[in-house]
Amino acid sequence: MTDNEIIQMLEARRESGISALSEQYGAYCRQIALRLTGLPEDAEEVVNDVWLRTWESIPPQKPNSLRHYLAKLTRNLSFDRVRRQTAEKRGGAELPLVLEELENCLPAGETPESSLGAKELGEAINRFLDTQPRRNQDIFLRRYFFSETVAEIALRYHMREDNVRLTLSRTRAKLKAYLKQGGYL
Amino acid sequence: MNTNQLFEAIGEVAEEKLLHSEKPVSRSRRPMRLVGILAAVVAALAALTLIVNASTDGAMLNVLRTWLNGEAIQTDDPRISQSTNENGDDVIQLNVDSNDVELMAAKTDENQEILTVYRYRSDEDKGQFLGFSINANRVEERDGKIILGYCGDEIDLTEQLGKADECKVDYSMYFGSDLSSHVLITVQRSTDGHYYVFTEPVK
Repeated sequence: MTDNEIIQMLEARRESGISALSEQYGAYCRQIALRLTGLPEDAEEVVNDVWLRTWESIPPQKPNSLRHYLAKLTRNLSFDRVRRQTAEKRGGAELPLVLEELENCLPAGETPESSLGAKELGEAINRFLDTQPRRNQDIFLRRYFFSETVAEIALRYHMREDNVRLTLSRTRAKLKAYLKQGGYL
Repeated sequence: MNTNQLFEAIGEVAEEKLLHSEKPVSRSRRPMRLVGILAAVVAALAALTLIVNASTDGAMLNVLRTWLNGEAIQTDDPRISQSTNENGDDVIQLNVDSNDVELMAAKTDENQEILTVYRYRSDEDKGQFLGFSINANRVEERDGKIILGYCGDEIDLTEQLGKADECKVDYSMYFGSDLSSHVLITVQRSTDGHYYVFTEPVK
């Protein structure tokens, strides 16, 4: 079944659209959620929330890429869920490590909340990524969008893990400089 | 801005970029890729030939080796320039052939020293690139070849490129249809004194 067919089912308010979503993208969303939450039961609940949110948002929304629309929803809902949990309840998810690494992109010490929205910052990050070699962009997104482990990324790109870490570290340093230069920090 | 905001902002990146990051990366040893492998090996050898040719008088590689050893470089050679880039990296640029190959080495403030070899490909090569990874703890030029040493063993980089399919060190090759118009070869020296040599596509 194509993405367009699934979207048409959702637009026609046919519940079979959710079954089709689950069949087509269930494993994909579950994998992203599991990386971020660390617990299969949490991942399952996140994925159910994703179907509900998709049902509520399409229509009126009509995503160009259903796959990445779902990926973004899964990522956001997983993040919200982990944030709500206490530190003791959190499993061995990759998210704390990812956030710790991203901290290197920010100035040391207290970092006040930015008045900029995620969209505006996202556009700045998009522009930054455009200045980077394609593979470095990919590695950055595999780590900080999809929260893949360094080992998974090394396997994907046939690199050594220390090379992946080095690439990520250099990209983070460049992102920090870019955000600082653009007045975002 | 805090890390949560940064994490959320990364969630707003363009779908085109996510799509690209999900494309499978092929290994080199698939028979169906043989033509592509050969084309990439030829291109890489051409790049290395130019490097070796350029260093027959020893100038280029001597400068590079001196620089990697942390010694001061003094030269009037117009092909060699030193500067500091926007990231504060100490950069040395060696122009072997202004139309074809450029070497750039950057010594960063993280104490990582990087040699980058750019090979600009002709139009017909567009869309193909190669990558590999070799660990070494010394690099030297001998008999016009670039030799990497590791744990008592020596690797002839030129030979490794020429025998891609027989390579026994940690080695991979990648191909794509829309990724790169030239090849980037990087030699990195980490803080433990090891060199890491690999190539990657550059936009």
